[in-house]
Amino acid sequence: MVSTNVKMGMRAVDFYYGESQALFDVSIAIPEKRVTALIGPSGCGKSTFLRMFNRMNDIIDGTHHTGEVMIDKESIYQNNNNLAELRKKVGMVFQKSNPFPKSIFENVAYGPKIHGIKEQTQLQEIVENSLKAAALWDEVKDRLTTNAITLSGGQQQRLCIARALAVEPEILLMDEPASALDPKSTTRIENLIGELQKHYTIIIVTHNMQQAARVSNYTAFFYEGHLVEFDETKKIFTKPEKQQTEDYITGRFG
Amino acid sequence: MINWREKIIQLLLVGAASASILIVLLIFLSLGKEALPFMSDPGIGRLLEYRWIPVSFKREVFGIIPLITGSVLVTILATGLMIPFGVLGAVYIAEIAVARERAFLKPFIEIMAGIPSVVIGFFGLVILNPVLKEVFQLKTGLTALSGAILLALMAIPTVISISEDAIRSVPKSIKEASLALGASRLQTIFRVVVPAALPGIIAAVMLGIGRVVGETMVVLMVTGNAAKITFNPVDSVRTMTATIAAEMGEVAFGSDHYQALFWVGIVLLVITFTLNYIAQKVLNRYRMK
Repeated sequence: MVSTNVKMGMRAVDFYYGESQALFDVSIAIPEKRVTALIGPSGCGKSTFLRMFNRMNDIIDGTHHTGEVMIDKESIYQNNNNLAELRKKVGMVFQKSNPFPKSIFENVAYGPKIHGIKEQTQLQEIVENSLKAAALWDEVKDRLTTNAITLSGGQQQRLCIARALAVEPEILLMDEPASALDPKSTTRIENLIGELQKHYTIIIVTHNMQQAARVSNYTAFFYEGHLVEFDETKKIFTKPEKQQTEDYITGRFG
Repeated sequence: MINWREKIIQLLLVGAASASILIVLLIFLSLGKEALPFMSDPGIGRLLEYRWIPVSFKREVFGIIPLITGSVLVTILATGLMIPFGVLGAVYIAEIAVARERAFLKPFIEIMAGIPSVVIGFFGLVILNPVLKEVFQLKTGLTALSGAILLALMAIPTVISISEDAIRSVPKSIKEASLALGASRLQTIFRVVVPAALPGIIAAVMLGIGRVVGETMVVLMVTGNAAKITFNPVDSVRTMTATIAAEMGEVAFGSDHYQALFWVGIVLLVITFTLNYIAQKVLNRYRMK
């Protein structure tokens, strides 16, 4: 089914918030440098699934899982794994834009600084490249020292993308990155995702069926913690294997 | 009818809001009225001498400079102790302590804020001063340092409580953003959370300093009340507040000494006003646009 290299995946993963199970026996192989969309009704486990890959579920008390989560054929949940290294490799963009209350420059430079880059010229270069990659450079290049809070919602979200790109990740996890934005900003983010796909493996959670169809190469449909179907987006949206998938896509529930 | 009611309510609100301004003005006026004659006789320049000897058979000296340096020394020392303990304590309670620790620590610290100052002064006299005397090999334990330690003790609960609120109100989403970039928990706390909470933390520290500058009973009891110009933490000092409290009760009404004490009060008021003003400025600079 998947013609390119596999970048990351799961094998038989069950995930629990305390007593309640959020993922059931999920196995998946996600292709490299492609956009994979995660669709499904609210509470179906999409975000939980996404946050497995950068271990952001770890910060919630009382969670645990079984099964294996792999990136580049290595299990990422072994205790000796370096969390900082993992999260450097796996960037994340959140549903609500969450810039730090610092300057635009400091927002983007934050990650590289954390990972030990101190030289100012190098930081400047990273900031410029990251902002360019996030299609924000032209709008903010004259006011890098102003507080990021002053940017518009769409700009803030692109800043968050730039911030994630600044640490040179290989994977980008996007949790409904455009759900709080106006249509114009949404289009910009979608175009941006198309550009980024050349260099990054992207997983994007979305509630918007058209968006999934527009931006992704592959689509995974989740329902009540189960991965119902995973295939090329074209196939999912034209002739899905499972009745459940078809019902959801055609809007019969969800 | 409704219009009238609205008018009356509005007037009441304006009255309530301006009452505090009025009271401050009245305080200033009454202080000024009592202190004013001193300006011509014996002359305002007498306040700038380097000694405070208000009762003398030869010549009375009303230099308030040693009182100011006394207050400043105690305040600086107390602030130096208050900031690290207060802010780090708040960071611990807000970010690191587990729920059970927090449930115990927070109320405990708030109870500490309610201990009467005279009790703290008593504790200082009986426990702290002898210890300081031993440790620094002093002739007396009644020093600026002991006053500062006790004042810090009194101000820390306030600093912790308000800083902790500020730290906890930092949105979870920006903490997640930092963690997701690979920052450790401590990096996240000190590079994102604390800077984001800085306006609140500064406000907390300024409140603490305000309490320290104005506190009277503790310094009166434990700092030795020697009016001399010194910046040695283990010297005895006399603060402005302690001077007013100690001498106002026995001074002849309307005398030069009486007026000089009012001048001390005015200086104290100006200092606290300036501190508040600076605090406001700092807050505005850090506040997000």
